[in-house]
Amino acid sequence: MTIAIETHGLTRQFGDQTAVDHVDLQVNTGTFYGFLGPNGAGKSTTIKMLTGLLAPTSGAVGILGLNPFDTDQAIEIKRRIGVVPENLSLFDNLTAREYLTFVGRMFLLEKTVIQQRSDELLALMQLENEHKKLTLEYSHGMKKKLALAAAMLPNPDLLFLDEPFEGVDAVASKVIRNTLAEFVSRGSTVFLTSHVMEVVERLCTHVGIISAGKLVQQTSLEILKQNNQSLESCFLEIVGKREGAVETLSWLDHKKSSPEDANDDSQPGLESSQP
Amino acid sequence: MNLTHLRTITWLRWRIIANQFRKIGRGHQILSIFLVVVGFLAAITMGVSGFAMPLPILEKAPLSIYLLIWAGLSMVYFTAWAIGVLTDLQQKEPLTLDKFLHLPISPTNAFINNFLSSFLSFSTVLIFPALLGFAGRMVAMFGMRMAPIFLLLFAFFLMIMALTYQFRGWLGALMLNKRRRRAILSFATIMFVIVVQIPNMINMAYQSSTSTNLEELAETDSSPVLEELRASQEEFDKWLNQFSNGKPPSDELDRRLEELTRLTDRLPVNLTATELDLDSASPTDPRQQRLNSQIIQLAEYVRLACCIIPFGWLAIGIEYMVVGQGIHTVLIPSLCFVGMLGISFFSLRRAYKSTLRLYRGEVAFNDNSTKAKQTPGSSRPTWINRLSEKKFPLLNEQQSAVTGMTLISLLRAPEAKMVLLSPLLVILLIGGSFAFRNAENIPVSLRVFGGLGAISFTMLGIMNLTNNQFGYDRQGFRCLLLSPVKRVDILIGKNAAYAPFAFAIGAIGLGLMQCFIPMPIDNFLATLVQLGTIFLITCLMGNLMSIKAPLAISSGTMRPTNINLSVATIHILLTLLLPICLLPTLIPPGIDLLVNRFIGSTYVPIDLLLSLALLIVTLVVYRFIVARQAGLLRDRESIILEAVTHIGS
Repeated sequence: MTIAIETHGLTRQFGDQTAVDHVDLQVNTGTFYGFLGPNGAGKSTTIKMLTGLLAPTSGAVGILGLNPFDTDQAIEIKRRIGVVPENLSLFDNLTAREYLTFVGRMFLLEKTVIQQRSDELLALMQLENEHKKLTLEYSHGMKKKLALAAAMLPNPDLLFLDEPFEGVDAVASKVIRNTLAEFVSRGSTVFLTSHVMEVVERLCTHVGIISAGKLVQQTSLEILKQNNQSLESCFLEIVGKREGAVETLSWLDHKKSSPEDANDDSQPGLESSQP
Repeated sequence: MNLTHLRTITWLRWRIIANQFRKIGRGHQILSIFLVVVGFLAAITMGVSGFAMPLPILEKAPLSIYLLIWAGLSMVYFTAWAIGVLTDLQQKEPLTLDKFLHLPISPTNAFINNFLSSFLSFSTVLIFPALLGFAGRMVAMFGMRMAPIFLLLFAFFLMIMALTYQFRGWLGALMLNKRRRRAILSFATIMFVIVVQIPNMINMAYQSSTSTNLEELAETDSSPVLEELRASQEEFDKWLNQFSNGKPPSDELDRRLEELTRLTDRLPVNLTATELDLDSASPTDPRQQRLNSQIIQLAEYVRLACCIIPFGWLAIGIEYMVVGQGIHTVLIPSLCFVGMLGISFFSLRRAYKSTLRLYRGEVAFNDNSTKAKQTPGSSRPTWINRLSEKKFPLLNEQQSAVTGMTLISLLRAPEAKMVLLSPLLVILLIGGSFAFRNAENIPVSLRVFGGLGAISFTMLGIMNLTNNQFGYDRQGFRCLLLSPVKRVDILIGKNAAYAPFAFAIGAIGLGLMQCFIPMPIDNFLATLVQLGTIFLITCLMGNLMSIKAPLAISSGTMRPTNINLSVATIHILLTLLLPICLLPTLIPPGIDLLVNRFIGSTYVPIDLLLSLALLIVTLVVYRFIVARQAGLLRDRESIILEAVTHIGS
């Protein structure tokens, strides 16, 4: 089995702050890899480094056996990967079809191929009826779906998805999950970050958990199941406990007093007698 | 270079423009088409008129006139270029590299695509034909020895494009941080206003040095002065002709020019063209001579500036080509050409290196390194933070909360500060012109009106913000609507937040006027009181505009994202109505003036007392009207919310 993603001592510092700290990743081809971590743990920074958008302070990265920070090899990598970046990188003043056409042309796809794939992708993402709407008029979920469609358009060997299910409705989410599962089953690789344990648990074959920039767990879900451990319990066990963390609100300890008492010193609310 | 990528990105630009055009209102579409057609026709006209410029006007002038013309053209081009860059930077959707980096595009392609895009700018399309046309005219006039002018133009054009590219890239990289972006946009705009005003200030200073007392001149008998002037000019011509290279000793030239100017200044203004014999091309024509001497004098300053600023090297090169004598004719234009090419080369090299750094991810687009460092000491609240807790005098708790929130937003938004300060800048410039131009000639009794005009003008800056108070809240307006606050408190709280700015800027503006055109102290104090009246009226007008014609504003700019004809009409009409609403403020100084004129000095500060009375009346009227405006706000709040949170094209 070949290796799709490999990092050694991957580190990124922003000033004094270490966002990613000596991460050693190894993702085999044909793997559905879930990259988990609390907010600010370094997931997006790692994905940026893996896709060549951010240079590491130290360490090495290999994507499909190539170096994303070598100018010549970077283009070859970009031809073979699809990315849903954190900020989505859409153009506000394009329609969905125009954006897909643009991406297809940048990947040097044939016109007919672009058209056929765009039709299918737009139908799959339920965006086919929005042909006159500009991206700026889309909801966040629709934008996510369009970015995902654009990432899948060139039929890449490796997909990087930064929070792909965030803001996506349940129906579309199911369709996307099925599509991604099919994508992996034919031998491609998916590397996704997500907060939704249930999605990761259902889709992924392997998971990595990052906390405070450090990769604290890298395992297959198969092993977790053998140990009778759910992903959520494993995740909470590793990163869920914080010393001195506030776990409840002081004013919620007491039963709420009557509305009259509560409103005693409050303002009268919206004026009713105002002209 | 991959041509498919180049074609694709060109297509992308076209689609974005076409879609933006499709989404704007019909009125805006017609206006855009009109502007494009006018721009196109203007470009052709400028090109043709540049070539067909009637040169007999220039024939009487010294050769330095070409330096001035080309320096002027370069300045116009620079101004148009700077406007283009500022507009570009304010665009909501710049085609920055971060949109392409995850796609398979090579760094060379990314660089070339971005560079080529900088060629198509307003300044290039509109101004460059005029430069080409005039260059062609000069070749036709001076012969083929002027042909290298096109090389100089090419180098100038390339230099501007390369610098634009580098400058935009640099600013673009800096502006990735949103807070810094707003500060840069504001700073760049203010700097632009100041820079383009420099020639105006120089002109005013220059004019003041040659200004004359018109009344004295009108009474002067012209004939002896004219005789003396003609004699001096003949002598000056003879002396000047001794220097075949056109470079007389500067000390002696200055002395003679000063003498000549002094004599010319003594000429009465009512001297006719016949008396001056302007129709003849005689070298003894005194006005022509005076003009020529002024051109030579001005050219000295401009030449110095052109030598220092690379934008002026085109003018310097052309001037030396026109002189057409000696080695300098070749050497200086060549140096200018090489210099401009060198700058182009180094700018492009730097820009390419930056592109490579971005491509390799050595510079992060989402620059986390610029985030504030969370050190233990830095969590202490600043005075701006404390504004959110402050209870302001005369305001209730909820009004204070709204005032605090609005004040914090204003203090943190550089674009708002820019808008507030711009009228002050204009007053400074106008005040400067008064300072240069014998302000003491303005009658004392009328100066109070100048003061009122100055503070009314500063209020325009305040009105730029008050006329769309909810638009600047953007999504924050939803929070105001959801809060259990009386709508009248929202309006009063918001109005109160502008008060410190209005009083500070108004007082500074009035102080400046007092320095340039001093008025009696009671009038000065009365005008300060009037500041309150004018502010309250401005707030009422602003409230009405904010409620009736709200506009969505792009974050980090002051540009409305989508403006339709009816909203624009309301804004224009209400802005025009403001001076009419401010007319009552003329009553106190008007009565004061009439009493002094017809009864004589009463030793009673009539203006001050009446201004205080007017302020009290305005306060009562304000309280009455703002309550009605609150009702209007309540009725329209959902419409306003929809308008200010709408993300238009």
